[in-house]
Amino acid sequence: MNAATTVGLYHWRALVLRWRSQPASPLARWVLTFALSAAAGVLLLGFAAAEGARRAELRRLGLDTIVIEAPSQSLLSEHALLPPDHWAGPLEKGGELLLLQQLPEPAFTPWGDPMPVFAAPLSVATLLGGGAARGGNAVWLTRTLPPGRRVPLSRRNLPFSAVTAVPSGNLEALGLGDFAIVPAAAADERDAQGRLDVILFRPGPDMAEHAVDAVRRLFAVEGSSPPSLRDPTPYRAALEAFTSTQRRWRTGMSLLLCLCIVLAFGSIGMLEERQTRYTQALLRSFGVSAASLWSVSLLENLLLANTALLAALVSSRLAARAVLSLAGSSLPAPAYVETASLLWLACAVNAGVVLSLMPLANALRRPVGAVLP
Amino acid sequence: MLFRLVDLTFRYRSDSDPVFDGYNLEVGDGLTLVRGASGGGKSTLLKLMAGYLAPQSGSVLTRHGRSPDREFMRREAGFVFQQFNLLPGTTLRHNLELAGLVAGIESRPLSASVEDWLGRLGISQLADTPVERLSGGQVQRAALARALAKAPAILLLDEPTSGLDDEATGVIAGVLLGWLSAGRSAIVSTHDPRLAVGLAAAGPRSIGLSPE
Repeated sequence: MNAATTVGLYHWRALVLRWRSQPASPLARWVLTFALSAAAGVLLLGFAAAEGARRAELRRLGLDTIVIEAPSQSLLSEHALLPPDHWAGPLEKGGELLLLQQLPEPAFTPWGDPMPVFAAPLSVATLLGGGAARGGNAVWLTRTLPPGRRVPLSRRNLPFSAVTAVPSGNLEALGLGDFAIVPAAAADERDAQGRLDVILFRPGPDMAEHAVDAVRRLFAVEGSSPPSLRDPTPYRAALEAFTSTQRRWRTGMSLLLCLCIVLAFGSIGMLEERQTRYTQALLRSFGVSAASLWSVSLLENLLLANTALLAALVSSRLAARAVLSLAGSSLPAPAYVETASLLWLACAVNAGVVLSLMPLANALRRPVGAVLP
Repeated sequence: MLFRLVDLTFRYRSDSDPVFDGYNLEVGDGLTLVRGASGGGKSTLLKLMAGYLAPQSGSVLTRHGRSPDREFMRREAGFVFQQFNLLPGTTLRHNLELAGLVAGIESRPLSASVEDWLGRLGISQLADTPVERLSGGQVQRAALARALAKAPAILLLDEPTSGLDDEATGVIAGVLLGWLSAGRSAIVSTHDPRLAVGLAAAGPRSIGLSPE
């Protein structure tokens, strides 16, 4: 055996003896880290659940989509998302774009209720209606009928059939109840006047800030009157504000956690130092470095703190699930806390452990001869 | 020359009287006895030489012209404390082996050296005894065996025979004479005349220290 192994084994035996003779010392450190980390974990899970729910709601309602309405200048093509030279062409690169044309005449349900009708390129109709819309079928977007049913509708007293589907994604941004989408080819000369371009534009991350300005600029260049715009920016800003608040809380909570660990581990460490001072000085008199003795204490505390942290994260996840279940909440417990938050927590705990050992580092600078008689 | 102390000033606390104030000393090879009454600074002098205490001013220089550092403690110096200071929670053998391994001695020669010194000091039968069960005299011999087993260049012994009977004192004196006869050096702090007589054959030099 070499010196490092021998000294390491000696430390391990001494540690086991110390833990056995005073179990309160490791237990206090473990339980404290566990309790604080579990509380922090529950808070992080709560934040993650709230943010996840807000994002899901934003997406479900299409509130991350800008709705632009402007009089149509050209007819839709059956095979292209946008007609050539359409004013919205430049937006295509900046995000997800869908052009619908609202037709002037409504469609009627079998019960005689009117609903708006939009024309879309065939590919779009197929996309929205799934397999059922292939072959040029219209789609009736409704939440009252099960999807995939073929239902007779009428427009201008002419019957046509449509397949039911549930509106989802950016179509939610239209803010409509029931409506129909028909293939572009279904619109005829009588629909030429009074059509309205409805563009659903979900800007990408690079364009999110400037999308509305970009649209306004496009119309200003054309010299046209400004379009009707429904801007989701305030909703996005609210989400950003929430995320930012969450980050501030996370930082504050991590600092508090770190401080608690520094104080608790530091106090216990100072008491333990009084017990181990003699053997540490003796080992130093043999030539064992103060740094290696400090590392042993660091390893001991890291072992306690990180096992407690791991157990706390697992427990907080289970606790969050149990609490949500007991509360009968439909909000799903988040499957995970984002890596950055976990790293913050781990950094806080481990930084606390390291800082709590600064007094020991100082004590290990005391001359051996001042300790050993 | 083993040690040179130049203008050495040392006090245990900033508000206490200095144990040494502008002290100068040269210690040569062979055996040196540090003698004097209690409180004269014998233990402090040895700890300063071993690097276990740091002077407030002045310097302690080893034969390499450097202050005693961790490497000096680890490889060159074998120290026996006044209170002997065996590592608790271990056996006698483990105490010796641990100090030897830290000093960089290979396992196999170290084991032989440990057995040899335990035998010469008459405590072989206690090798696997926990140190907490050793008597005062056995602890003193064990502490000397630990210092010798790491094969140091210099032995620094602080009152190695205090409280020992004549026979045990004779054993320690005999072991030290044998060790010194190989041309090695030792500095022994003692006010035990029996040890001084026992080591007289090595022709020791004496340093006298008295309380200020």
